[in-house]
Amino acid sequence: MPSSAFTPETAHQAALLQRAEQGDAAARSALFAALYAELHRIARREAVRYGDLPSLGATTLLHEAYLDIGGRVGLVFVDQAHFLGYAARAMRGLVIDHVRRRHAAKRGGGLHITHLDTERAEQCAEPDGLQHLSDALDDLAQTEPALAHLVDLKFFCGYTLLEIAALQGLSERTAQRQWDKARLLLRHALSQA
Amino acid sequence: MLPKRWPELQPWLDAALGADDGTARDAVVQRLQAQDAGLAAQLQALLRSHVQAGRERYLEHPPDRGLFGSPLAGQNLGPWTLQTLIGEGGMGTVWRATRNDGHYDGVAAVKLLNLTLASPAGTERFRREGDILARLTHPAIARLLDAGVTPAGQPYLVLEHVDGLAIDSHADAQALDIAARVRLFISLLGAVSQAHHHLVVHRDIKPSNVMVTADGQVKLLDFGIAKTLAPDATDGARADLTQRAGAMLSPGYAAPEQLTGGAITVATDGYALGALLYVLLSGRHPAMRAGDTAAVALRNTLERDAPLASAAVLEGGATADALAARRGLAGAPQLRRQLQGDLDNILARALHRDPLQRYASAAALADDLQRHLLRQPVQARPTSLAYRGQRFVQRQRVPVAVAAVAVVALAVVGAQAWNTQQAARLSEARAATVDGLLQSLFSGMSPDVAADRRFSARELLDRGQAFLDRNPAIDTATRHAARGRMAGLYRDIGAFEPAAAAYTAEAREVERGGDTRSHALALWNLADVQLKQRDFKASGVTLQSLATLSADRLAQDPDLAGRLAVLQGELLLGTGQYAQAEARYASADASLARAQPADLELQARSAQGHGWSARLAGHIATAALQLQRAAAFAQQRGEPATVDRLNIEVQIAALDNWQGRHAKAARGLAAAQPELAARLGPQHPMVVVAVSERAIAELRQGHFDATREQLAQLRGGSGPADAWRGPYADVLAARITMYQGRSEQAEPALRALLQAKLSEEGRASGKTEPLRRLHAEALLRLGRNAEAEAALRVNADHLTTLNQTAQHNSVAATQVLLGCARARQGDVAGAKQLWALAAPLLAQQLGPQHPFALAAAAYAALADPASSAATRQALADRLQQQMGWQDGAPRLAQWLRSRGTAVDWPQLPVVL
Repeated sequence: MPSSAFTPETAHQAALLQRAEQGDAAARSALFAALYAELHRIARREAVRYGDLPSLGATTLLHEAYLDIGGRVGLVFVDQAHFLGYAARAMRGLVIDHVRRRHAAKRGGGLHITHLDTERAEQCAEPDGLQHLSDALDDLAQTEPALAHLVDLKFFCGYTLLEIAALQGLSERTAQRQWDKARLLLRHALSQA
Repeated sequence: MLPKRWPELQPWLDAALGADDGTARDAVVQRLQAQDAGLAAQLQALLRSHVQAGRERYLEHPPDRGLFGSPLAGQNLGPWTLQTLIGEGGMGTVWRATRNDGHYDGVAAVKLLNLTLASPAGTERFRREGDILARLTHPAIARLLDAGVTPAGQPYLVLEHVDGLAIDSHADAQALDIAARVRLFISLLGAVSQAHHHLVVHRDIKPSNVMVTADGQVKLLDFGIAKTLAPDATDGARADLTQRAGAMLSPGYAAPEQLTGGAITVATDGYALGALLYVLLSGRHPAMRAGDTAAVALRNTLERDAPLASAAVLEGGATADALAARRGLAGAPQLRRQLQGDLDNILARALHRDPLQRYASAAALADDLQRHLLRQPVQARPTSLAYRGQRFVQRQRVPVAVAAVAVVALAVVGAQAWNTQQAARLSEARAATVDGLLQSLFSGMSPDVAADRRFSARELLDRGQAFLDRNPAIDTATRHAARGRMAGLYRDIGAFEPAAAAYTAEAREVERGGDTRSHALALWNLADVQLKQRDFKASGVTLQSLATLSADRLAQDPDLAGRLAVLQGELLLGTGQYAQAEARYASADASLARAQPADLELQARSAQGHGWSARLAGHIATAALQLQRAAAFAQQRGEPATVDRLNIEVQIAALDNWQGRHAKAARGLAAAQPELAARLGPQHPMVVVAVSERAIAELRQGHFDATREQLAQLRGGSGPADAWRGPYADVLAARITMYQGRSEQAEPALRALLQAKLSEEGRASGKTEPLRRLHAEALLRLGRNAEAEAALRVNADHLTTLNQTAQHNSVAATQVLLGCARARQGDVAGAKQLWALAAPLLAQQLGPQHPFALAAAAYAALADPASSAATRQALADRLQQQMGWQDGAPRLAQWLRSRGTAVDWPQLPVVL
């Protein structure tokens, strides 16, 4: 049942979401594009509002997008888990583009700063590596969409396993198992490539 | 990218990953080796990748630290700088922080809460609660110094940093004797008592929350924070997953009423204090013994009185002497003697399962302990056996409230027994099932872990479900009842997948039983869940089977017929078939009206859906009528449906605004707004929608001051859902200046807003075009007629495309303005034609009282030499009355009255 008063703007977005849910591929890519734009817009807005504060997390970004869209579309049309089903993939695109831009900026400035202690943590942060990972994830999503989604949520969106478990209605143990599985499959596939 | 033979490999991989240790994992590989060496080699390769991934911490760190936040250490939150991480958990992280503004060398603990999942209402409430807690000052309460939300939207608490030991560890380390322990505890009670006077309940008192510093000062941590984070009953309309799953408790210290969903009062803290004192004095726990699981603790809390502390002491054999030694006593018998009598009685009263029988306050408990120390008679008396027996019988007759899932199973079976046997007692077999179910809910949780662990509703339901699946011996009726209740709870916490699975299983089971109505209801519930999942295909199939199954009985069973039609309506509404949905809802309304007994909630749901679909199908009168009906049903349901009712009233007001009945809309909103805001908080989306509708209603009556008040509220929001609010308020503010005749100010503002919206949307949309018309209206009012005309033509084209017809009120409204632009530039004939077309269309689609329809009629009459003087007079009067506040409206009215003699087309006033 609708739970917030009707505003004339809602129909279009709601229709897009519904068509995507019914398997309309065009609507789905339109939705991705819209979500990408939305995330991008919010990131920019926050940056303008608070300066270049580095603590803007992907989870916060997604949450803001959810509230913005939810506020407009009416929350009836989107529950958060559902919303994340679409938005997490868009977030992945945003993150990779962001890394690419930063990387380009570093190159452009002729600076190659590598901290030994962060090298390991950032082993994946090369844009090309991320792109390979993203391609592998799209492959994985063909047969094991839940595993691919989990990686989007955890690695690209920064959700903790506890939060993911709560969101998806899994036990923590199951979420951990799924994560282990997704990670080893990706590690395996990318080392083969 | 998946390995070859993945489907075969996957179950083996699951088994290997699920193995408890390396040996068990090797055993899995070896079993596979015996069956299929090739597959086993693949499995081993995958497991190697698993080990490597673990070693490399593969994918554990976010790919970009700039975006995801550099390590938090060194960051500032207001005057605090985060230094080192001192704790981490599901709730968030705790940091040691120092003051950075040089005021003093303060050290604090900063809790950064993982609340990104909470609602804006939750965030708002968090702030309110924080303000209350900050006022709690007592030397034994770790002060809340500050509560806020980081710029990134994460709530945090700044708490007094406490360096010390948990109270029981401190007492043991210092080998405090019984009297010293009692005195220490009394100093804690003073703090609790003061907080209770401020009506703040802790809700989670346990040893790890009561610290003692090196200089012996007791410090109670996290006062009231449980409430800050707990779900708010009034958030019901929008309670999200986190909040629903948020029914948390600490087994062993949670009072019985916390487990059964009873009222949380100061007596709840009283119980936890009793448990804490029990542990502190006796070294034993009132509801569990060493080795017991959390399941046992919870069951004992609900079902048994705590054993006398003096008796419990002896139950550990040799360790009892060690307990005594830590209390400066020679042996267990001495300890026992010290506890016997007063202290036993005091503890029994504090730990009474009935909150009303406990100490009325922390102060009363402190008084009794003081009397004990002074060797005066205490108030607590041993509970009489007769009294206990009486309470036992009463308890058996009262069905347990189902809120905490810990006792769901108990209630399920209790209700089952009640309904089918009309008996007050459970059969032995059923009791055993309950026992097994409860055990299964908590099995595998050790007491050490359990005491500090919190369980989500979802976790407990999953365990219960697994128990049902594992035990084929449970009889059908019990299984059926339990599964139905659990499915409903899954649905309520938004876990639709298991809910659907449970309803599917239930449908299959009752189908075998041959009870058509139960089967139909199971299918109905399934379809309902599928609709909530937005799985329209599956729900369509389910509804089809339901319709086929119950085709014969629908005529005699209006309840079932109505239920079926409601969901069919929802399906049609969800798939955008508004007119068909409207018809289905109409049929549902009719059936439900005949059903006995009447189900008001379902009737309200049907009427609201009916109104909604009518509104979307463009049938405004029906929509208004049905929403009124829905409001009436909600009214009849009384208090529990208040938020539903207020929501419907806001929808009705929105509909009034749409029809141009702004005075009525304003009255309706003025009535609904305060209560809605009081219940949901000022930042709840529903409240914000009410404010924005009120702003429109006041604006269109020319009440500019009242409009500005609403705009201040719109702008004042600090919730995260405020993206649209500021710009929306800016648009309305620009309209005020425009209507007041200051279009030279309004025009640039509207142009900027339009441009922002265009770049945001990237194309013409339902959001850009109303702005484009407003901007054109401002241009027109400034006399920039050619510019305005060009913009209005673009606007009309877009609106025609968006609505897929030119015969639409939004196009007609643009044509009214276009007529003004033409007339001013000398094409009065063209203008006349536009107005003559627009006026009847607006009257028909928006109602003749709508200001757009009125303005169109006025222009049409002005341009028509054949219009009668009476018509012009009447229009002039209405124009003056309804829209006289618009700059230009009085002049237009005067022109109408002058029979055309005053008409000077190039100076035509603009009114819309």
